[in-house]
Amino acid sequence: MSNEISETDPIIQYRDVSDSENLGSKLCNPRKAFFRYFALIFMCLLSFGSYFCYDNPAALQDNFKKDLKITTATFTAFYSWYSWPNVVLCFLGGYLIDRVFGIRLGAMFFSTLVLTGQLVFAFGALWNEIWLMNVGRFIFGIGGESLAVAQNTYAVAWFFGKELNLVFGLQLSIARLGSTVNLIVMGPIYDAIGKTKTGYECLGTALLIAACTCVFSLGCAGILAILDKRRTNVVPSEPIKAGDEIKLSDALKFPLPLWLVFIICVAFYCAVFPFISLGKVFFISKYDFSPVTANSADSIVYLISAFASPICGFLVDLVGFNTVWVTGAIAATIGSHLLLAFTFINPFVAMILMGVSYSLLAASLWPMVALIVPKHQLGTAYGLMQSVQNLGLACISLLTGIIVDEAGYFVLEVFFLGSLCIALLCAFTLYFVDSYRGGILGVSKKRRQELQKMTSEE
Amino acid sequence: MGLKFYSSLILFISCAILINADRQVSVSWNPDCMDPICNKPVDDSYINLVYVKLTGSNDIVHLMYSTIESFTIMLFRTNLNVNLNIDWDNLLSKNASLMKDSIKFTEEPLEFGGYEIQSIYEFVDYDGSASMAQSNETYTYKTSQMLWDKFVSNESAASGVLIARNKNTKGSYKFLIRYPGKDERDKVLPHLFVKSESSSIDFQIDSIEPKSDLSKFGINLLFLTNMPNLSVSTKRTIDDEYTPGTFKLWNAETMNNDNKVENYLQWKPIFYYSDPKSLENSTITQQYDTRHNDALSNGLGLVFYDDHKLFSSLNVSFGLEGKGKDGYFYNQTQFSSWAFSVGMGAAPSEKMSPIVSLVIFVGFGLPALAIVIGLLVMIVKKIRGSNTSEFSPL
Repeated sequence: MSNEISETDPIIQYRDVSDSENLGSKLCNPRKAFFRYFALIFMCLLSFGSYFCYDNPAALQDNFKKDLKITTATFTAFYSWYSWPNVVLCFLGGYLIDRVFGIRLGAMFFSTLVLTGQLVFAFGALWNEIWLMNVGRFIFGIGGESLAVAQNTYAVAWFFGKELNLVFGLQLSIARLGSTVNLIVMGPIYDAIGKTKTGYECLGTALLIAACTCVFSLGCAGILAILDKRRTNVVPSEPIKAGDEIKLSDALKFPLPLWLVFIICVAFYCAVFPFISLGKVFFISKYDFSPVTANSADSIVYLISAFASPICGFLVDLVGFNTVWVTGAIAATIGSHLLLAFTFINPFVAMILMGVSYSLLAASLWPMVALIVPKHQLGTAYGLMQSVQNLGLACISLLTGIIVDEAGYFVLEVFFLGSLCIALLCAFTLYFVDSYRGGILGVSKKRRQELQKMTSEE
Repeated sequence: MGLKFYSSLILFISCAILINADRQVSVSWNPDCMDPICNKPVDDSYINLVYVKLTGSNDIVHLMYSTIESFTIMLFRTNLNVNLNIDWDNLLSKNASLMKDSIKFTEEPLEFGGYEIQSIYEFVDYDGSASMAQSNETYTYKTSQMLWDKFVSNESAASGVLIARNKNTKGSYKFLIRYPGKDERDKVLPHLFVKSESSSIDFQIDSIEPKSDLSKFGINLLFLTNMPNLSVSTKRTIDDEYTPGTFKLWNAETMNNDNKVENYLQWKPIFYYSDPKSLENSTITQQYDTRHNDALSNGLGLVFYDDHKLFSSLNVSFGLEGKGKDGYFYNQTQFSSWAFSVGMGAAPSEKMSPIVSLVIFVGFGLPALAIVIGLLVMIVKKIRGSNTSEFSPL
């Protein structure tokens, strides 16, 4: 049995009698799978801080508004200041990792940016300067999204041809876990500080405490850099790329199904994330929830996706039929928003449904890109998808703030339903276009493999 | 047959005219009062009797807003060409027997009713229960003891303002009254719907210095009717397009013995603590303590009701339950604004706006259409596909 690990080796290998290493040396031996899993821990936790802090405003929505005396529109602008720069910067982040920093330094640099952004945001609150807080969110955004690119690059570098799907699923889980933990603990933290401080000082201090998670993630980036150096020293590999070359001209030649996937992505995410960021007050006013219960209802989508994402990914990989899953997920989300808009049924029902459909959509939509475009364009495609999503979310979160202030939550729900109907229309079109062309998006895994085999034989 | 059709057509048209009937609005302040007391402040306080005449095509609705002693609002419906006579000497006599019948119409009103606001309360909410009844530190400010400014009318907006102050303190209580004479929504939040024969009142507590940081304010509303059956109910709505963040509508209606509504008071359980008003500077009101044995104060009510008669009343207070951040305390902004509407007959209900209904219709229709078309295409293709596969050469 060779010590070299090839792609065809099973994860759990037969133990040679002579192979009498203890756990410690297994963890430190880059040739062993254990070493990979050890690194996976830090790889997943890399973005924990950025996801934790991203949703700080949502967790403390009421406190933000009261302590800083701001309108809903100003409040949602904190999210726009995060998303707007990333309409473009998703490309740049990958480029910097690829050409300037390299993956290790890149991840540490962006972790530092995340930490800096959060600190500026916190001090902005501490001094009651809204503009400084916006600057903070801007810096935080540059770091956060590019850190996600770095995280994906690490995943591809370590796990390509191995457990890559599982790794992506787990990364999403940890990211969601970050948001969920944030929604659960920030309220109590604020209350605890509220005993000694009041108003924006209390808010600023709470945000400073939240910044600790960014320090933690920066630490993970450091450890990961050391592990990665050891890995490349022992197991020489090809240079890492942040996706393939990103050429803008490629984007213009993308096929229709990919653009449909982009539209579905934007239209669907716009009906989930902006709702979550405005949801708390809705639950309090419509369902007479206490602020604590309202927060739980709001965070349950993240909580579910933390558990369900890897499972859904596994299932979709197992059976195929991606377009059918996507359509089903959108239809279920429409159902959930219908419940929220037109009934007084306990919103936990609707939010659980939304959480499951969100996990299902994320698991079935993103892998579809790899089935539509050739490998050398994957970087461009994913980069563009991320950018388009950020563009959509930035515009929509500004708009949703205004809708709530001017026309209320019911009209907001109608707006979300409209957005989801567009997503549903695109999903149908995608299904029909694909099956009309004899494509592989809407067929079972077995049939897909047959078709792919036929194509490669041709 | 033909006659029936025409008569029902005429009925329909007359109903349509009735529904759309805009009333002619005329406002007068202390009408026909020759006494100098009606034009000059006595001890820094004016006498205000705002008389609004809403003349429709079939009847007249008369509204009175009075600061003679307790703040009182009266509503009357009379036939056309009915006029008002006021005996000011008796009205201002402060003597119940003289006051009785000091205001008369040339013909008996078809119906009438009113509301008296005797007191505004300040209570210190130590335990965060947001309930006046549970507070053991309550201050009562009687409207009859307040100093009233001269009524300021804004004729183009069919509105006006009555301002009251406590003696020797800063700040004021404002009653912004509106009598549009047509069916319309208030221009400002919470955008209450006001019928053509109704009125809306925005009650503001502006820059009053509270007794404590934990003070909340409340108001007592007394319903003046011959039948003291007060029904207080709340309706949940799915639609908050007119009043963002509010999914409830409260109605307090007085019923006669046939369970027919005599007059109503309608409000949304929301008040605003900033000017201009907005959703984020709002929180909810508490409504409770319906009582059925309150006596009249010495206001305008004594003119129309016996001074021994008992009436129903209701308390509304401003602030959510909870301590600290969740409960609103007046001193946070030293401003609060709560709106209600009053009128005769049943309270109006909320309706969805046509644009929203249209959007919903299109929103559901379009995907349904797409599914049907898509399925048809697929079926056609399947049928053709199976045909061709059967006959296609290998």
